[in-house]
Amino acid sequence: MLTAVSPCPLATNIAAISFLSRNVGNSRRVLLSAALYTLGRTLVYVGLGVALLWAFQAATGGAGSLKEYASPTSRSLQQYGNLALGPALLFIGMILLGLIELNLSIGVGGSKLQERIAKGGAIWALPLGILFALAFCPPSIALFLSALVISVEYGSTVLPPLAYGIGTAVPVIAFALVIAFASQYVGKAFNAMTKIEWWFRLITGIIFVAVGVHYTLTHIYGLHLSF
Amino acid sequence: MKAKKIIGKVLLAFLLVSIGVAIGKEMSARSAPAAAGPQAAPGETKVVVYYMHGIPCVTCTFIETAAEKIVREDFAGAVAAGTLEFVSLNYLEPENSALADKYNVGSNMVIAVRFEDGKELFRVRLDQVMELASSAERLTDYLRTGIASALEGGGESAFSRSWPASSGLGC
Repeated sequence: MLTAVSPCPLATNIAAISFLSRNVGNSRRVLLSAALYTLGRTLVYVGLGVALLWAFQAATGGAGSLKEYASPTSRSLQQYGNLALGPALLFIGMILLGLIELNLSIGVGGSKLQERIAKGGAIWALPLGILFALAFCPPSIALFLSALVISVEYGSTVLPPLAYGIGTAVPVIAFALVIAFASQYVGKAFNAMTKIEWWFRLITGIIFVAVGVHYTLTHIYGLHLSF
Repeated sequence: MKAKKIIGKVLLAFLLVSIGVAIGKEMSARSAPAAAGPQAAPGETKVVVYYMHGIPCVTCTFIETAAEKIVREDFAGAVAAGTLEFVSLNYLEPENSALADKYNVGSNMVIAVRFEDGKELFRVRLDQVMELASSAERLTDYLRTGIASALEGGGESAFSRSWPASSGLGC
């Protein structure tokens, strides 16, 4: 949770919350999106944690410092995760805003990719969770490695990174609950859910573009706009 | 509609240029020469306190300021005598990757390295700074004890005795 509320990953959390809120009229879909987003994050941390712990055990027999052993992986994740995140968010934001016309059909139905991401499916929250989890900030990498140190100390490979993954998604889960339940009253009160949904999708696209530009300027051009 | 098209084209151009810049930077980084760290001349003893950081953040700046302040104020005599030096470097920069590999740096940390006669004698690794940053007092104590261990020649074992929490999470 400390990771989730630290200023550095705040931009991605805002993007995630706005992404879930694009389905503001469908409580079930908002909650499912939040669950899949959490699952995506957790899968990365558990997978990475298990792989690192296994490699650490195999290479050192559990002796020595896990933090030192994991340092090349840790550096690569910070470097390339954040490098890829800006353009990826910018691209998704442009699709959501209809600034890029992609006539690709995915799966059955053949509708445009933009419509599929914007209106649709909770399933898109899963890759978003994976993408955001891979972009490590200094507080998140330090706390993730601390979770793995706890794994070594207590002999529990899965539980600490699992708890860490769920913890990092707590603000998004909390906002999803608020959106899911509060929005029904807002929608009924104004009897204009379709209009509200349209605005939420527009705001989601703008936030994705803004966060994408922010990450690109910071991590590709080295303009330190981080909080 | 016209404004939307212009914004779309500008953002698309920015996206493509940025991808190109990222690839270009990565290619040139592979051939970047390694930066030479501070060394002690023959017959000289020196402790270099490295603050290693990656992506900037509020906590990172706080740790850097605290570490530099401790070196400059608490060990002013050693700094004036030229036996203690503070160096801040980004471990994600290509020219520092050799040093990051040598000291196994993967997250923000402070390392106090003692050189004697031009050779590295030992290092005191202070890699719990991020976990301790929520308490300025504990962070200061942790850094001061670690730097003193390197300066007094006690090394990692002396530091572990004076800061028992160093073997665990320290919080």
